[in-house]
Amino acid sequence: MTKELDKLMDMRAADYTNDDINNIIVYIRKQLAMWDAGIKPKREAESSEKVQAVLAKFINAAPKPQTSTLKRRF
Amino acid sequence: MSTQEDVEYIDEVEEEESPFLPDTNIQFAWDSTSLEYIKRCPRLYYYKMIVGYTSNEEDVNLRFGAEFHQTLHDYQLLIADDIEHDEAMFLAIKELLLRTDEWRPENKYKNRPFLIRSVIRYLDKYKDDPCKTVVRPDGTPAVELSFRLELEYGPTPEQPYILCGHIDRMVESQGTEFFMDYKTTTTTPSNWYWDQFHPHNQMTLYTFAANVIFDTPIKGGIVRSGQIMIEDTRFTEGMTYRTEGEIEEWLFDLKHWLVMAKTYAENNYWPMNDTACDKYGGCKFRSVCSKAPGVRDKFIKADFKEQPIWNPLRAR
Repeated sequence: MTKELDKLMDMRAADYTNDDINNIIVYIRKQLAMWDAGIKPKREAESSEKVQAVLAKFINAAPKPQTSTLKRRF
Repeated sequence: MSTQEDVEYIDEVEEEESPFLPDTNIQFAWDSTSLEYIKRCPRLYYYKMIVGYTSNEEDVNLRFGAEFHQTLHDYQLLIADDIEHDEAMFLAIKELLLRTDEWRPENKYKNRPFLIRSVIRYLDKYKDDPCKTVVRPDGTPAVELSFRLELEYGPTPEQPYILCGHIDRMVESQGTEFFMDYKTTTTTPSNWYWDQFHPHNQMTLYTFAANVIFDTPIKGGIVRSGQIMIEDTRFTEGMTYRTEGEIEEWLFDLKHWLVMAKTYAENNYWPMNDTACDKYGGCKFRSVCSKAPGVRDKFIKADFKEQPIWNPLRAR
C-alpha cells in the first residue's frame, strides 16, 4: 500500500485521473486508520491479522465514482 | 489614544499596492507578521521587510501553511455550496495536487505528502465540526476574510496607518462567535505552546479586527493546531480570550511601535535586539548577526535569497 501511495504522490498532475486522486485519499485514510489502531505501517509486510482487520473496514468504503473532471474549479 | 471606535473597516480589498510611503522605508500598512518583526527586533524587520531576505526553510514553511489554509478554504466553500464531505474533500485535494505539482521540498516534515495527509486528517476529524462557519449577510461563508482597518493617525497627515490581515474563518461555537486560526507545528503542543497565545500580537489584533468587521462583541479566537509528525498529523485546539481593556492597551502600545518603526526608517538605523536571538526557536538570522559586522553581507548573501517583500496588503 505504501509503495502504491508513494507512486501516486510522485506522479505529475497532468497524469492524474480521478481514480488516482481517489486512491490517494483512500490510501492515506487507510494509513491513518492503521496508525489510530496502533499499527505502525511497515513497508515490507502488511499482512498481519491486525492489519487486515483494520483494512477490512475499507472494503465497503471504496472510492465512489466521481462525476467531476480534472477541470480546475477555482 | 486609538479606540475601537476610531477605526474604519474598509470592505473592498482591491489590487496590490505598496505598504510603504512612496520612495521611503516608512510602512503604513501593517499586518501581524510585520508588526511581530518590528516588535521582536528592528534588525530582523529590516532584513525581512526592507530587503526581503528569506531562507529556504522559511519558504517551505510559508508554502506549507499557505497551501494548507487554501485547501481548507476551498473545502469550506464547497461545503457551503451544499457539496457533501467526500466530494468536497476530493475536489479540494485535487486542487491541492494541481497547485503543488512543482512543489516537492525535501523537508522532513513540511513536505507535499505530509501536507496532503494533514489536510485529509483535518477534514475527516472535523467532518461534523461543532464550530459552525458564520454566514455573512450576503450569504457567503465567513472564511479567509481579508480586512483593512484604518487608524485615526498615520505617518503623514495624508496617509493613515492601516491594520490588515486575513482571518481564516469566523465560527459560532455554543452560541458565541469566535475567529478561528489554523496553525501547524512540528513540536508537541504543551501548556507552553498554548500559553504563547496570550498575550499574543496576532490574536489580539484579530480579536480587535473581528469586533470591527462583525460589529459585535467577539471575545477571542479558537486556535486549531496540527502537529506534523512522521506517521500522523494530530490536531488539537485551544481558545484565547481578550477583554476590551486588553485590546485598548494593545492599540495604545501600537502607536508607540509605529512611531518607533517610522523613526528607524527615517534614520535608516535598525538596531539589533540581542535579547531576542534565541527566542521563537532561534532567529533565522542568528547565523548572520553572530558574524563580525564587516562580513555579514557576504554571509547573508550566501545563506539567504532576496524575495519580493512581504506585503500586508496582498489579497488572498
